[in-house]
Amino acid sequence: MQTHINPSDEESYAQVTGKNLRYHPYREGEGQNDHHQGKRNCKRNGRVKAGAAVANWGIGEKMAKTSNMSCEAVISALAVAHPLRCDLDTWIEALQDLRADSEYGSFLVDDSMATVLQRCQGSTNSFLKGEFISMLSRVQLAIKCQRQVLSLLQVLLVYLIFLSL
Amino acid sequence: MRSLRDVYHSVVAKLPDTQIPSCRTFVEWNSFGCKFACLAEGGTVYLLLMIAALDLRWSVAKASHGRVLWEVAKLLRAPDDSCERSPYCIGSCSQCCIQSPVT
Repeated sequence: MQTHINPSDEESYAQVTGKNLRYHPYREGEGQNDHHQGKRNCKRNGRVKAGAAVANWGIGEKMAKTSNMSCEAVISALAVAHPLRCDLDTWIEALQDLRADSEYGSFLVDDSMATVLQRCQGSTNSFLKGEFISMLSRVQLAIKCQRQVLSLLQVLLVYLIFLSL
Repeated sequence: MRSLRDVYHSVVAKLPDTQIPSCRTFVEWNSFGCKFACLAEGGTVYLLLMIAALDLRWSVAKASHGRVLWEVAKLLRAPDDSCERSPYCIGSCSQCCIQSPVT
C-alpha cells in the first residue's frame, strides 16, 4: 500500500493544477505494515488512503474556517465597550437618531413578512443603524416564523387531546 | 407547517415582492435571529447595539450553534467569578439604558 506520493507525482500535479498537495495524516513509513498487525496510529480510527485517491487532494486558495469562539471570548470582545474608554456616546446618538427616524416607527406598526424581509437585507445608509436594524429584523423574523410553526403544533396538540377524550 | 421550509414555501415564496430571499438565506436569517434573540434575552437589546457598533455581528452569528451564545446570555443574567469581564458588558448596557431608554 502506498502511503506517500512520489516527488515526481507532486511536481506534475503542481504543474497541471497549480496547487500544492495536501498530505494525509500519516508520517512517512507509517501505516505500511500496521494494517496487518492491527495497530493504527490514527486516533479517529482512520485508514490509510490509496495513493491514487490521495493524489486528488489539494489545498484551496480560500479555506473556510469554522468559528471556535468560546463564551469568554465573546464576552471579552464585548467588554471592549467600557463606558469610560469607549465612544458610548456615539452609539447612543445613533440610537436616538434611530428613534427619531420614521423607519424605526415602522417596527411597531408594520410587521408584515414582506416588510421584515426587506429590512433584513439592510438598506439604511448609516453603518451602525443599518446593522442594528438588520439584527432586530432578523430577531423579528425568527419570532414570527417560530410562532407560525408553534401555532400548528398547538393545533395538533389540541386535536390529539380531542381524540383522546 | 412543520418546519421553516414549510413556512418559506407557504408564506414567503407567495409574496408578490420580487426581492424575496432564497430558502437557504431565509433559514440562515432565522438562525441568526435566534442567536441574536438568545443574546438579547441575556443582555437586553442594547447588547445588540454594542455588537453592531463593534462590528462583531458576523463573528457572533457564526459562533458554533446556539450553545455558546446561550452560555453568554446565562453569564450576563447571573454573572459569577468564572468570567471577570462580564461586569463591563453589563455596565455598558445599563449605561446605554440610562442615557437612552427604549420604550
